Amino acid sequence: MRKLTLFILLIVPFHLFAQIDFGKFGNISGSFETNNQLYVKDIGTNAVFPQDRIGSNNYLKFDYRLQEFSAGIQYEAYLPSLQGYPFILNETKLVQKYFSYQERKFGLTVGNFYEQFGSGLVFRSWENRQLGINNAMEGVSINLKPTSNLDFKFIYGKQRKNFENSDGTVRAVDANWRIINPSQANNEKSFSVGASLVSRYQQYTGPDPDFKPTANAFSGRLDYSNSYHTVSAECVVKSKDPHAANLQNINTGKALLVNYGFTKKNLGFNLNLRRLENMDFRTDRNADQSLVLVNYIPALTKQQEYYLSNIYVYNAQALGETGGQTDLYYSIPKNTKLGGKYGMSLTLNYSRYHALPITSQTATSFESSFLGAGKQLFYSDINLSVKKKLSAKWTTSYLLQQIFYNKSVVEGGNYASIKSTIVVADVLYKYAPKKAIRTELQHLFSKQDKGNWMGILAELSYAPHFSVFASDMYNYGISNKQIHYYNAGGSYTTGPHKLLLSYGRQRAGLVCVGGVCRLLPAATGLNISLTSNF
Amino acid sequence: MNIKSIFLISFSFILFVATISAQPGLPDMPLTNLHGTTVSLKTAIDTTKITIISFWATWCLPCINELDALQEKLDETKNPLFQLIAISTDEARTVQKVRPMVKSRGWNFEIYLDESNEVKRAFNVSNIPFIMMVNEGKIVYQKTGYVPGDEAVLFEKINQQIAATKL
Repeated sequence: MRKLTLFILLIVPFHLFAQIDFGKFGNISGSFETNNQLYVKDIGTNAVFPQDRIGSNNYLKFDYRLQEFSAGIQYEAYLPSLQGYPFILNETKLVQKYFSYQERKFGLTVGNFYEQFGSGLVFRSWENRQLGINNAMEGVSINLKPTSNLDFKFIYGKQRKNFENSDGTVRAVDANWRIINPSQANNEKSFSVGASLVSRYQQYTGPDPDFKPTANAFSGRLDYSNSYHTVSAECVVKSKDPHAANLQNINTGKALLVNYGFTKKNLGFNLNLRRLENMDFRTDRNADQSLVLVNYIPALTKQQEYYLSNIYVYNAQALGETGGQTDLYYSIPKNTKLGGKYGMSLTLNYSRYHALPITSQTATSFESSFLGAGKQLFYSDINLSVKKKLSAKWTTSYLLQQIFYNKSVVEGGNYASIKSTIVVADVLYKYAPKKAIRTELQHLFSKQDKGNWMGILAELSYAPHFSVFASDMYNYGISNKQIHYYNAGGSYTTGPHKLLLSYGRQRAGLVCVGGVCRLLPAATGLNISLTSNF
Repeated sequence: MNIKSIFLISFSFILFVATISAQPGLPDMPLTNLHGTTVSLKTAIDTTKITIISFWATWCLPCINELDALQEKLDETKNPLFQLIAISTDEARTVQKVRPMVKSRGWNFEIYLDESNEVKRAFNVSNIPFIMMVNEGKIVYQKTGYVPGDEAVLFEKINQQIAATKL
């Protein structure tokens, strides 16, 4: 309670302060987010009832800016943390702070900062509150831009690990050279190359005299684009780094990512190919789950928004996988026979991931050929989305999806693999300029795991402030146990402030955001969340 | 946490939301366009127009619905005093899909990439879609989320701004 009072006492003076117009003395901006759940006992979902029936995650952030100078803080309160997060905390803390000076050719940040090199395959510090990930660096970051075509970044510091810092230290440098700059070439061609070196040191106190406490990763990349085509590639090599999360594997880490894109009027094509081998990279050799990750390895699959499409979601296998995805976007133009008055958009996506083609294996290492794929299929997904506006009032969207999900690999354990087919119909009826009803009807067909699911959602909205919804996910077909995951709620939005209130059941399973997942336990209760920025 | 704590938190939140004012200034940030050129946000904004900045992503259905609706409004009104800038917050997982999706949908407004989410963080955007209206270098309106019909409200506000500033 004392912690809570302190938290509130900090909020009030700060937000009053924020009202002051500093004029030429700069300005203050910030954000506030609170997510709360009141847990209710529910034998229907087999939910584990927490010790404290309330979970509450709260974030308050302030930034002050004055021309090239900025400074900020982030205050967090877990009172206690919501169930299913990769940490259990019952604390409040001013957990991040920074001072920064950024001008055109030079930038310096001291304190906490986020950074990314290339696509993040070698280094990324980032925050995702839904997943409970925040591996912000605490230290020094320097950016140099000696010419308009050349960038350098230097970072030195420790990663955040919950409310503390990780044991390990990160030292890293990144360089990027734009060899053809479209603004200079007076056309749409661009070509750039880049390289990064990331070094992690964590003291080793074990018995092995040959154990190297430092792990280094090097990456090289290139990007080319013109009016129609884009090609990019990035490769990473990481030194031996046996640790808990990679099962003490001593293979040299390797990663290759190749992207190709093609665009034309009404048509877009995208292809991503990726091979990973022992690429789990952390600043703490004992860390697991999503803690203190140095690099960013998302699942390269289509990120779906519909409920039932998010039951069997792929999680990238950093220890070893090979595969890719392709997307085809096409819009049938307006005023054509098929497109009608408003046109029609189609999206086709296919992704497939296999084990590496392993030729020999020991307890802590394996050999595999660089090209080709292993026989074991981890995941495949083919899906087609169609959106068609029928009239000024009616818009329809459809999704057809077929998934293969190797549950043993993605979630760990020993399970049968799952094949599922999902169909979704999403119908919007805009009966007045600011009023609409949207309904979703979804079905997942499967003979494995938990069987079939049926989903229904109805949402009534009155722009710009109100929205109410009711939904149900009904699981049936395999065992005698059939269960409804019902939810109902509403939101009130005014400008940049949004209040959400809902009551219902949350199914147990993976929650994935941005291709990174965490396992969420089943829960029933009242949810209240508020997000605000200013 | 007990009921008293919940009340205190709720009271504090309501007070917080009720009294805060819109951020007036516009921090300048580097933006990357679809051809890899970096420009500053202040350069991208046409100060002779009312500018809408939309934070979106390829995986966010409400964002796409909002941008489709805004494109329709743009086609309908052809208002020369209005500029739309869409900043993609797609990260490494989906950033490669931005250009194919944009070209296929025929969106003809300006698109920028914020792959490391630096711009999103600078504006303290928690959730997308998120809209900001900028007039004469000042943020005059912000909106989080999208429900059908929000575009009508937005265009009412744009017209009010145009009338008030006599653009």
